[in-house]
Amino acid sequence: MNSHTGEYSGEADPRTMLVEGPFGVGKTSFAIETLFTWLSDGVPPENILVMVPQRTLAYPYWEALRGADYGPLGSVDVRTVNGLAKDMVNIYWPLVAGEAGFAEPERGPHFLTLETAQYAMADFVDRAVENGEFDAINVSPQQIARQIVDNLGKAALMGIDYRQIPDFLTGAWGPDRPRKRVLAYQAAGRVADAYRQYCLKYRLLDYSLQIECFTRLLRLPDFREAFFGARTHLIVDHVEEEDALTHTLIRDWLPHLDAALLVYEQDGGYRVFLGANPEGGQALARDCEGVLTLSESYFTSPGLEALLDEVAYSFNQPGSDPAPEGSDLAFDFAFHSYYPQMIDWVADRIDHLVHDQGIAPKEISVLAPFLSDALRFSLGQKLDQRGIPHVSHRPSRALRDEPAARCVLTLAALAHPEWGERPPQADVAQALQLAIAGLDPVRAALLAKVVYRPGGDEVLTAFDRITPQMQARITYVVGQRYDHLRDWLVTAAAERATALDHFFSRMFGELISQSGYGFHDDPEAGRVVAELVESARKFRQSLYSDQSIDPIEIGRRYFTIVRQGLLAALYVASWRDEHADAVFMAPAYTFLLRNRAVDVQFWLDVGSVGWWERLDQPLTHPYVLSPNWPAGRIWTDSDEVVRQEEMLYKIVSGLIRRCRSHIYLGLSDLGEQGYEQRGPLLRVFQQILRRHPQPVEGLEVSRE
Amino acid sequence: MSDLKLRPSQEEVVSYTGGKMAVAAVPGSGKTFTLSYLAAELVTRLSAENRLDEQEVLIVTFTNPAVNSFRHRISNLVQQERGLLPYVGYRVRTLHGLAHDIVRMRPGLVGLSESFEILDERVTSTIIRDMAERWIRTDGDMLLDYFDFTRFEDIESASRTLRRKGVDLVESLAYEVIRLGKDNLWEPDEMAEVLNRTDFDLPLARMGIDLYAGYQRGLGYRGAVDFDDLVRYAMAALESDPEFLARLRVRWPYILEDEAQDSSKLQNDMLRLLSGDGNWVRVGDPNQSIYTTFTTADSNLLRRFIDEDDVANHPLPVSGRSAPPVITLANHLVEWTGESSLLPDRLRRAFYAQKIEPTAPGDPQPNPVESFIYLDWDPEKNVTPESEIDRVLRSLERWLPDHKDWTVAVLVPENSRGFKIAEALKERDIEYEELLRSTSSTRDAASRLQVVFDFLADPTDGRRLGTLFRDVWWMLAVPDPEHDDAIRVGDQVYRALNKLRTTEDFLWPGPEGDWIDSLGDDLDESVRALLEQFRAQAQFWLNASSLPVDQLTLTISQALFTGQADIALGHKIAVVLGSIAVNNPEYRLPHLAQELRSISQNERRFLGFDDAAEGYEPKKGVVTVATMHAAKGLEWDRVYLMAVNNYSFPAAQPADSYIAEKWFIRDDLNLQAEVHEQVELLMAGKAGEYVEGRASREARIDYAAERLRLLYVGITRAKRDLVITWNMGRFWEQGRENSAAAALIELTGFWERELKS
Repeated sequence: MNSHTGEYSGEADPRTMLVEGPFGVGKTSFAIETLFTWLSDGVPPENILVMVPQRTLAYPYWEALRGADYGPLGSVDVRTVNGLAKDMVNIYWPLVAGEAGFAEPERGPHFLTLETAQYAMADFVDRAVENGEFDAINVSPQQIARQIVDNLGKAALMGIDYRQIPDFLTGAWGPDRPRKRVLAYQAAGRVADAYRQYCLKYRLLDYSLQIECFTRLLRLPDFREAFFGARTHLIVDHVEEEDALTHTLIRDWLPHLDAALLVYEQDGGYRVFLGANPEGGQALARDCEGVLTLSESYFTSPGLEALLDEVAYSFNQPGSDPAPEGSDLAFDFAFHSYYPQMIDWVADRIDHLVHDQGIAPKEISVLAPFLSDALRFSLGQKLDQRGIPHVSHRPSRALRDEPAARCVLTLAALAHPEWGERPPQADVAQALQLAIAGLDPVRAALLAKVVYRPGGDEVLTAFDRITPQMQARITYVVGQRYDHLRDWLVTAAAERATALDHFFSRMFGELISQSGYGFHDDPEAGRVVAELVESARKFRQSLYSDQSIDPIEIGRRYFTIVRQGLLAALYVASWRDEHADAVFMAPAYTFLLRNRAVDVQFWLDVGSVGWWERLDQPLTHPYVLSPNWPAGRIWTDSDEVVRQEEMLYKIVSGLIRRCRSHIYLGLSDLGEQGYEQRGPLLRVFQQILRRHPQPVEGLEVSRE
Repeated sequence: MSDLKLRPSQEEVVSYTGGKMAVAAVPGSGKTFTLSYLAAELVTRLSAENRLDEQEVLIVTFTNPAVNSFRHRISNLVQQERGLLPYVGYRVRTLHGLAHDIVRMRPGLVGLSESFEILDERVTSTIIRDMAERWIRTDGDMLLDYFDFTRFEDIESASRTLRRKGVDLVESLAYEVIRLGKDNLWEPDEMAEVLNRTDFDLPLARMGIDLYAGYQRGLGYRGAVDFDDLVRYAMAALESDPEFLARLRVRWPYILEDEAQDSSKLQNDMLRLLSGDGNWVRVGDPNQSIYTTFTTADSNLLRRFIDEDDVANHPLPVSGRSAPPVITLANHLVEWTGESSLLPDRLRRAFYAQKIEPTAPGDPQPNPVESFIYLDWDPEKNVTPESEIDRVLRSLERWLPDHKDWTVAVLVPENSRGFKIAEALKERDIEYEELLRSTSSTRDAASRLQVVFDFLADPTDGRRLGTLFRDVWWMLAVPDPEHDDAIRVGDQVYRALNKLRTTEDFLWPGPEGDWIDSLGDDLDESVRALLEQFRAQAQFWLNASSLPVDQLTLTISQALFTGQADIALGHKIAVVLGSIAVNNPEYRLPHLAQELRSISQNERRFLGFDDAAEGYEPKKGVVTVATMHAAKGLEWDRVYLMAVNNYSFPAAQPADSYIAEKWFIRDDLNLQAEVHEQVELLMAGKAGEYVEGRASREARIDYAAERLRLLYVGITRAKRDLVITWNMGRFWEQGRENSAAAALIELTGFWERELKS
């Protein structure tokens, strides 16, 4: 079969197999070896599909395929099930559009991202909020929209009518708690309905409708035949992170395949909020002809094994025993009074590890339950000062926080007086400074002060119309460049009806990327502008493809939501950055799903309650809105505690398994916000410290 | 075990094993020490029973410095005395901190998202202010019904006053109703429903309830809560899920409550619920209840608790703090108030009948022996505010040189008076510290950041550049900025920068040349080097100014702060400004500088860092200037109590005047008290019983009672010497002069009799 050994049960030459084991036993490498075996056996790459729950988990496959000589990267398809569903719905749209209730089904669908879906829902939510329909909860309209979008997706995954969601939530809320909440559930139901009708009318497909349409397609015999016949070989990695609907799809698919390998990670299932159903993943073993269990860990040291035992014991895991007295647990605990002291401590420790102990930066990860911008920035600066490269995972930084994007947007607002937007003088100064090469911040402020007339007929005054003294202060070189920029904007303003994404592209190509302007030879700024163009294009095409609205108005709406911080930048290339030889900073949960081990981990904010996720949200619920929850059963406090502990144990043990050598735990008595930190993870380590006293940096600990 | 020696009354408290216990503690009786000791005992007990994994002793106190003080005391006791891990097995919180913990555990239970935000007071006051302004514009005429038209020439002038003063008044009424609603867990819609059902006209209640509803919607729209909501939501969470409540009862098997005399109904209800009416120890001094005006604190709650049948009472009557004469005076104030026929009946109940007892021989903390009492009241002599300050300062000038090892405080009823004293002390070169505004570290940190933000908002302004140099950079860059040479150079550069009209010539010199060169060849090399360093720093900050505001703040903080507490504060400010910027996308540097100004002027309260990390420690030979409120919990060898007149300390006498009664409102109505009464009666289903003016009269007595207790707090701050003075008030020249407080007159007579006897 291949180089991995383990305990195998099943048929002698299985066509379909599930390989299982904890992290670090070589499951993914087993899958990659299998993939290459198929290829070397002559299976055409296009007949093979590798399915992963999210894009970051595709990385080992891409890397392996890139390094091998099996044709272009795209030949073996490595996809998420959502990507697959979207493609299928796009291709087979005529088969489902009418039946699913879309208006004008002969016209094509428009796919929404999470953000554009929230935008499309915003009006319905705002109206309900103004009517006081959500008075029983204290959640911003944006969050309400997010939770309702989330519920629609969950209903699609559960295979129920979304109109049943309020009943599910009401059942779990129970009859004895304040009734007002039920009114909020009902209001959410009404908003969901109005939004759904809107989507059907304009053929807008959010995630929920993509899944629903895909499910409909799968019920059509012709489609099933075509779909299941299109591939002969399937690998599904991390089936424990997939939802129940995907498990059903895989189960139905298996009989049609020449070969299939499913990879299941024990103790996994971190994506609870996205519908992960680990039990369902494991149950797929029954549908396979063989099961291989791998157990030999390549990574964990005895000290970490002992720590794992201690953690299991603290969480009352069945059959667990504490580590023997005198065990050398591979962790250090450091106590600090203030948060920035903890950041200094991490930076110093990393400095020592890298420069004195020769540990490669990429072998160090800094993990926290939340990674605030402030933490990322502070620690980043301290590592910079120590000459240590670092990268951080940035899941969703708002576009407006990118100076380059802000510059382009401000210039766009100046070129579109019809929007009625008057950027503040400070924004204009900053935009001019970034856009014009050689303009310093002081002269930029001065220039904006003298040329910018937000209320005037001419928003920007020509350079030759300002006083000679002022011209001299700003300098003539800058003045020339400014005039050219101004002329370009004035001309652009005169050419009405250009889509905003086209405007961005033109401005970048014709103006600010030219010599003498700020984005010349700046690939990073170029990347940001490219993302802005892409984001504006998607916004226009998905929400306003019927061209019934003036492009100027679409541009204005786009500008407004970016300014409100609602659109996040897509860091297309970020997964590549994350694999550089650099210290990796990330939320713990992100690190787990990155599926990589490192030598050293730092866990920050050990006292934070953020290690313990709150499951019960005002309008949604990951457990109640799942196929396993019996309708009508009340979600109790013990349910909450049990699930939280399960999840915390999963996270903690998952992190320890992803470490090879040592874990450093940092606690600041007062957290980032100044609150005392007393979360559940701290209590676990306090127990461990009581059983295995060891010196704690910042505290004198004596044996009880 | 411990070498610490306890008094018999303290021994009784720390031998507590369970149930409800009340500890009425007189000033200086070692209540914090005793409670810390009891907490440590209970932690030890949990440890011995192997329950530390799951259980904690919960200590609830009033302020953040008190939280820190308890934490450190208990940590020392459990760590050093008992060899346990510090910070394990107990949790010390303010009520809001505790509520925050509870809500954070299950935010969904009360309709909050996981990322809910707590709005600080600046944001909430803006919401209320906006509503009040709108209300005055649309419905303000309603208030004219309450105006005293004898004070106006015509309706026009009354309307002008309405526009000028009305917003403040409406704001205060809105606060009153919001506080009352939240303390009683009344939702605005529920209140509106009751109001709509009633046949009686309650215009103030209607206005307040409308504003409360608008306010809550404003919070909801932001997905946020205010400080008082935290407690309300915590209570709602506990009430809506009995299993959750049961879990917390297991987690906190013992609840120790400090400063219980300042407990509100909601705090009372919440702790009763959390303790399951079981192991609940309440410690406080009903005679030091000084926060009842403008808050929901109610000292009667503790008194009633003391009287409950199943409550064990273990008072701490013995105090070693003050010399016997000070104790005698304080006890006489309590006695006189209870018995004086001069005072209305209700006011006679201002104090709880508990006398301070001096220590017995062999006490671990015996009373000081030496003492000096001076009560500066003479019926023949009128004292202007200025001459009062002069008399006290002359006394200090005489006394300080011989008492360098003593601590001394000047305590005043209001901040404004304190600032005047501080100014006068400065003029006379007397060393002092003031506790009149927010803690100086918060203020200084925010104010330095604000100067940098002001500069970044307009780097073309030479004055801002000069201020940045003088108030921020110079202080950091020069080892001894107070040295004469440094001051001279600093002033010289500041003046030059201040006058600079073309800041770019210094900050980013162009072809026209460098401004530094224009200063001439005789410019000292060291000064040139300093200027270049300053320029490099300013350029660095300017280049950073396009960063998101949280990152910009952190970048600036790194250069500004060195102390750990300041750095932490800088980090916290960064996070707060980041959140403000997200909530207000239109905000730019000038707005954010304004936010920092609010922090530096103590208009904003931070949860977490809102007070000094540690309590205040008076310095020997340095005069502390503080309000009597801020002095609570502190002590000095010598204390001056100033402005003890019938305005600051009324006694419900005909000549007394009251701060809450506005001159333009008729019939001496206190509208805050009236709206309170209207809403309370409405919600009790007794709207028909409302009688205008009754609540105002009762409010006078409640206020007078609180002020008598404030005087008691002031007196009991003195360890050895006590000087009490008074003045005629600011308006004596206009014929509205104040007299000495009735209590001061009484104490003076009493003390003369004592001396004679």
